[in-house]
This record gives sequence, C-alpha cells and structure tokens, in this order.
Amino acid sequence: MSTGSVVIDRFLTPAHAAADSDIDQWHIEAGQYTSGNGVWCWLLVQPVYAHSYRARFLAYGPPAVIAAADWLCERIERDGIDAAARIKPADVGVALDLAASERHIGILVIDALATAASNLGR
Amino acid sequence: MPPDTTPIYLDHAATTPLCVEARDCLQACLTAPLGNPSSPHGPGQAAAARIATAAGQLSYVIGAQADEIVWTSGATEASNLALRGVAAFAERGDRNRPVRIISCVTEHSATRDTLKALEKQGVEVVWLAVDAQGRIDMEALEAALARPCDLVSLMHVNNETGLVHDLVRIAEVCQTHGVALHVDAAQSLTRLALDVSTTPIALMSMSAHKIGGPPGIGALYVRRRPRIGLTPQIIGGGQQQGRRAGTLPTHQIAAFGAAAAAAEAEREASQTRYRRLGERLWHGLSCINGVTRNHPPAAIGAAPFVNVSVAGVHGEALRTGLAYGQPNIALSGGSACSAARGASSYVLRAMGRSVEAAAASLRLTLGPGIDAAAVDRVVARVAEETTRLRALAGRPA
Repeated sequence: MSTGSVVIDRFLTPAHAAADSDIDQWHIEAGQYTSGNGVWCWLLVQPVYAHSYRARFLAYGPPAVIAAADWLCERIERDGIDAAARIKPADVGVALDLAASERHIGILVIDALATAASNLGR
Repeated sequence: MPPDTTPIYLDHAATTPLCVEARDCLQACLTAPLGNPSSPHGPGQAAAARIATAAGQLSYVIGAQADEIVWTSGATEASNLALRGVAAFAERGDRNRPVRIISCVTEHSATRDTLKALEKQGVEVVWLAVDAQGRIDMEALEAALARPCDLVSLMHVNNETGLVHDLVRIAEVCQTHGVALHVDAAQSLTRLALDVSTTPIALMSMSAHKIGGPPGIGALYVRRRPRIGLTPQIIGGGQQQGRRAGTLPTHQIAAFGAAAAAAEAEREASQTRYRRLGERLWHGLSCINGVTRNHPPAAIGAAPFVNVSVAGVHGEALRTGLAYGQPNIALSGGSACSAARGASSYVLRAMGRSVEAAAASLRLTLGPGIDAAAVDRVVARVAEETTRLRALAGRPA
C-alpha cells in the first residue's frame, strides 16, 4: 500500500497524541473507541473555555489512522467541536490524500468524533 | 558526534543490490557491438559466446550441464514454465486420471498461484501442511506419493522465514516413487550448496536479482537425463531448443552468470558472516518486550533470514515507521509479492501463528554491506519505534 507524504508527516510526528500523563490529568473527557478490522481510534476532547477545546487521540492502526486522528484533533482545536462535527469522512480522505483503499479510515475517525461530541453534550 | 542516519537495507530476500561483477558485465555488454545471439554473423556470435559463458557459470554453480539451462524472465516465469509445462505435457495422450501435483501451503505465490490456476483447469493439487517451524511432514509426502503423481514442487528455502526444506531427503523420496521434483531455488541459489548431479532434481527455478544480478532474468534448470516432459509456454521462435521462445537478453544473461560466479565464490564466507550477524540481530530484537521468533533454528534455517512478530503494534505502522524514520530501514512484512496485495503473511498463518502475529511481522534479510554496527542500529530503531507506537495506542512499552 502506498502512503502519501501528508499521512507520513503526521504519522511520524503527530502533534495531538495523548501521552500517558495527559490522560491522567484530564478531569473531563469525552471520547469513543471506534474499532474495525483490528484498528481503533479513541478521541479525548476537553473544553478549555467557551467554544475552545483541547483534543488528543489514542489510536492503533496503519499510518493513515494515526494521521487522520491527529488531523481531526487539530480541526477540533482550531474550529471548535460544532464545526468539526460537520466534517464528513470524505473530507478526511481529501485532506490527507488517502488512497481509495484507505477511505474507510475517514468513517472510523468521524464515528469517534460523533460520539465524543455527543458525550460532551451530556 | 551526530547519529548515523545512513539508510540500512535489510530486504535482500526481496532483491539485492547489483554486485560489481554484474554491473561491469552489464556495462561491457551494453557498449559492445553485440548482435542477436541467434544470428550467424560476428556480432551475433559474440553475443552467443557471452550467453554460453553465462550458461557455463550458472550450470557450474548447480552441478548441471550448460544445455540444461533455460533462460527466463525470472524465477516466477521459470516456475510457471515448470508447473504449466509439466501439466500440459502430462495431459497429452490417453489418461485415466487427472494430472496430479504435490506441493506445500507455504510456497511462494509464483508456485501457489500457478497451482491454484491449474486446479481450476482440472489439475489435482495436494497441498502439504507444515509444522510450527514451517517443515513438511515427510510421512505426509510419502502418503501423497502413494497415489500416481506427475510432479512434486517445493521450495528449497522459504522466502519469508528462511526455513530450509530437507531437499536431499525429499529428492530421494521422490526418486524412489519415480516422480519428478521441481525446486524453487530463488532464495537458495548461492546461499546453500546445490548440486543437481548428486541430488535427483528434475526442474529448478532460479533468479538473478536475488544474488546480485539484474532483475528481469532468471533460469529454469531442465534435467536432460532422465528426460522430463515439458511443454513450452512461450512459443514464437526456436530459441533455446524450442523450450522458451524469444530473443535472449544478452546483457542480462551475462550479468546473471557473472553474479552467480561471484556469489558462489563468496558463499561460505558470506553465509558464515550472515549467520553471525543474524544471531546478533535476533538476540537484540528478542530483548524487546513482546517480540517472538518466526524464523527457524540455525540447523534448519538459511543464514540471512530473521523473522519476528511484534505484539501490541500494527504491522504496517511499524514497518512504515522504520522505513521513514531515521535511519531509514528497508525491510518487509513477508514476501514483497504478497505485500503488493496488502495481505498478512499466509506463511506464518500456516505455521500456526495468529492473524495478529502474522500481520505484525518483520522480515529482515541480511546481505552485503551490513555489519554489526548496522545491526545494532536496527535493533535500537525497532525498540524505539515499537515504544512510540505502543504509546500512541496507550499501551505500555
């Protein structure tokens, strides 16, 4: 499987990976495991102040899963959870230049985001 | 001192760098006024002479006669010629049974896929299972040979784990039952001693680019006596006594011969070195938590192969991280031909490994240019990348 440079860059140096210490310090978190084919993604979203969020991920899968989770966390922090919730799986594929065989990864991370957003609202 | 970021190539089972002897030979052929080797004029005969030299070099390595070498585009074509050629020849005339071929579940896809295609055409294929080391059961082979059979096809060295099949014993069993043996020697040529004059092998597939030669050229050894019936699969000219048509690529063949001679001259010394480095590599990797061994013990394994599974990481992520990190490490998860399909290793699964272990495998194959320092850097990088990926998944290192 060929992997594009956008994915490789994020895979090698993800800016939003949750460190062990990170997880322990989060007082409020909302996330969801979304798994399939032995691959999963867990998003941690925490409000910082009004309409501002901190987002981190845990993920297991090929490079594109790591990259997609990292990209989504970046969008949550930049645009807020409501705007991020309007992102579609195809948008992930376009942003990361995913190959056709990797497009399902967009669904994986968007599912995780949807549940995280839902949990935040409770 | 800054860290050494020189890329490390550990995928010699997939292909090897062109050796100096082959490169010099290629350059000489490409700049010489060579003609079509089938032509009777001077330039044509000069090309024919170079091909004769290469046939002599390769046949010397395997203990054959020069006219028992049929040049092909590679080992895949050689195996196709052997399997399809024997099946087509056996189908001629009146028969009261289908063509029957015995092989093994861990064969390279060149053999496996060809046999699966033949199965769809009515050929009966007996697939021998393997044990946890990848060995076939000799009693199962004997039992399969109890029924009439046209060919046994087995690889000498497994291309993923380096398991060495006991070819001498297998060949003797086949001879006892009067059945011809085809051997895929793509991974054993110039790595292990091969002598068809003392081991009763009827057909043997070989590849140049696994031994320092150029890609795009291989050969099939076809035993003359006792004769093995083989129907040509490429027709359209009388080249190679009609066994495989097409103008011969003089430069590739000459370079194949040069590479074979050079690699054979270094065989014992290089394999001893790879054995030592392989043990160092395995020892280092085995110290990483969750690493298990897939390659067999030294007594039944080819020296350049180290194959491990790494628990708690996704195989593709690990291989990609190693390939693009610093230093770049070129290795594979199994056969390069299987990697093209994105599948986990069917070889490891056949050996009883879990799907997860088969998917998270690393095949590291040693070759020229690898030293102890490079091995140590690889071990350090695998440990580092494994820790990083486990942390991304929230797992302990």
